[in-house]
Amino acid sequence: MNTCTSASISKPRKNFYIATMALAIAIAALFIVSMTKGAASVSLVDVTNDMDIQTYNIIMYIRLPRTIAGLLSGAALAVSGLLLQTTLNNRLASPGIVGVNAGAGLFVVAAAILFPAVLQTKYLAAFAGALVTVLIIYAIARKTGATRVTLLLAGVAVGSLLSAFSDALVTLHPQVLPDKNAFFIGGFASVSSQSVMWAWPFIAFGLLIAVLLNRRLDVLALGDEMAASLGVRVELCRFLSILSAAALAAGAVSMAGLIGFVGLIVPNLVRMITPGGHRFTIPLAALLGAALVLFCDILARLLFIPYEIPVGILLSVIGAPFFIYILFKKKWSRSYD
Amino acid sequence: MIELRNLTLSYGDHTVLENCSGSIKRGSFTCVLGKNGCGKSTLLKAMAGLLVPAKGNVLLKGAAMVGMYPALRARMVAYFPQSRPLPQTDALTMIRHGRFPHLGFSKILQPADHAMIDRAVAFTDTETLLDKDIRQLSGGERQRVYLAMMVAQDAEVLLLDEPATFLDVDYQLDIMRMISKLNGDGKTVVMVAHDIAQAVSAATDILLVHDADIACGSRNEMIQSGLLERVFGVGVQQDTSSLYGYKLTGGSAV
Repeated sequence: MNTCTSASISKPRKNFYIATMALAIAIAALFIVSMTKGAASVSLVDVTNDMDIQTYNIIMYIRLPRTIAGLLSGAALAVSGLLLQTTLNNRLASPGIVGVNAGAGLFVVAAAILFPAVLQTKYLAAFAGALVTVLIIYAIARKTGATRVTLLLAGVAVGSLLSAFSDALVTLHPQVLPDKNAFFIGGFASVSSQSVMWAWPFIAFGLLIAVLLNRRLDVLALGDEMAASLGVRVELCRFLSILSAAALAAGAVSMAGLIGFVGLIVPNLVRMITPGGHRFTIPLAALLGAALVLFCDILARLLFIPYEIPVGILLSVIGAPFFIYILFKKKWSRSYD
Repeated sequence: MIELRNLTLSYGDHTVLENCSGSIKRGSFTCVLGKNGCGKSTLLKAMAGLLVPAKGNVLLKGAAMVGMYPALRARMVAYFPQSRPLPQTDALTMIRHGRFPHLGFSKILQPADHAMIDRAVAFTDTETLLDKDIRQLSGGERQRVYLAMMVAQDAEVLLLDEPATFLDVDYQLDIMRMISKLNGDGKTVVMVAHDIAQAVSAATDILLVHDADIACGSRNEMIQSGLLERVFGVGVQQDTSSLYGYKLTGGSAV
């Protein structure tokens, strides 16, 4: 019995290794496809040999940033959703649902109107917007001592208010967001290497904090009182977690617009794969989110060549039925609920 | 061990306890009794350092609870709240969380932590539950897992809020036996209790909460003082034939 608690390999751990391996292979494959397929097809041989200048430009300035942006935003939104779900202790929380994306979106639109000449403001605005929204929701929670359900509802309300503001701004200043559909639905068509350069520090920061907090987040899931009595500084931990969720969402929104659904569905899928702690779920959510978004982006490019559809549409079309299917699979849902 | 000094506890405008003083002796098994809603749980929370008193102080070995470094406090005081959310996790992970305050920044379990966890598992007889999802356990099994976590925490003071309420009676006896054994091993136990006879049989001391005030003393003193009878409207009498060795007598409430 003495070794049973320390040495045994639990099922969550085994599932984690299998899933990590599978996702790593999937991401490698998707990366190659993403680099080579699109409106202009480039073979792997072309990439490895000397390229002509046009191929080089496509690869370096369009495909590579786009692929990286897809992977980064997927990972960021998934982990952001996971953090919000843990922090608000509600499986329905996600940056899309509690209004963090909407807040980032509003600030991006406002920045485009106020400082049309300075493109870089977009990234700071996205972060500021996400952070302000999260802080509003956090303040509501603290001020009212709201239960977690109330908190989610407050998030939804704040989110729709902010969306209304951005809709109003876009209606009054239609010229600032020429591709406003792409922004509000979410897509990678206009990603440049510059946007990746600006967004990755936010995402790296968010992921780093998330990883550092992982054990504390596990204990936080036991409830505030229990966590506090085990020595967790609950408020600080929750604040840092929310801060990193905002940074992650902001990074994703600044590159890809308001992509929904990833932040909701991926953390829930990950918990079905491994019910273990955050040291399993955080990396797994990042990998699964990255793979899912890149996969959908590739489809978005290839389905209707030479046209492409915003990736947000595909995410919902593929993600929603899959999610419902999972929920109905008895084996999963019982252990999950 | 724990000293309450001119303690006033309140939620917003609502004062729960006013200017109370008392103490919990080292190694005692103190049962906190009182009518529903009188502030027993609030008092326990303050003893756990989770509620900042409006006035006065809770002292743990002479040091004020408020402002104590959280992990340091958690190494000395373990708290078992009455209601808790049920996270999706297996029992072993749950029990391991008990070591949290003892871990360094990386929060990685060391051999000594594993040894303590093994002891806690053996003590609470939870070997067979370890790989189960705690949401699939019965109420009694779940309480044993929580108790194992508390044992793993290895604090000197155990604060328990109705750990046996709502369980089948055999599970209640199980849990009470384990808590008494922990007390026998030198832990100071403070337990909010619902069942008066059960509480009185287990306790060495009784802390009575009534009308925003407290009274505490040894079990026999408290029984003889007639205070219990005044608060609950029933008397407590030794009765070797009943389950707990005590029975309630008289009063309209019985």
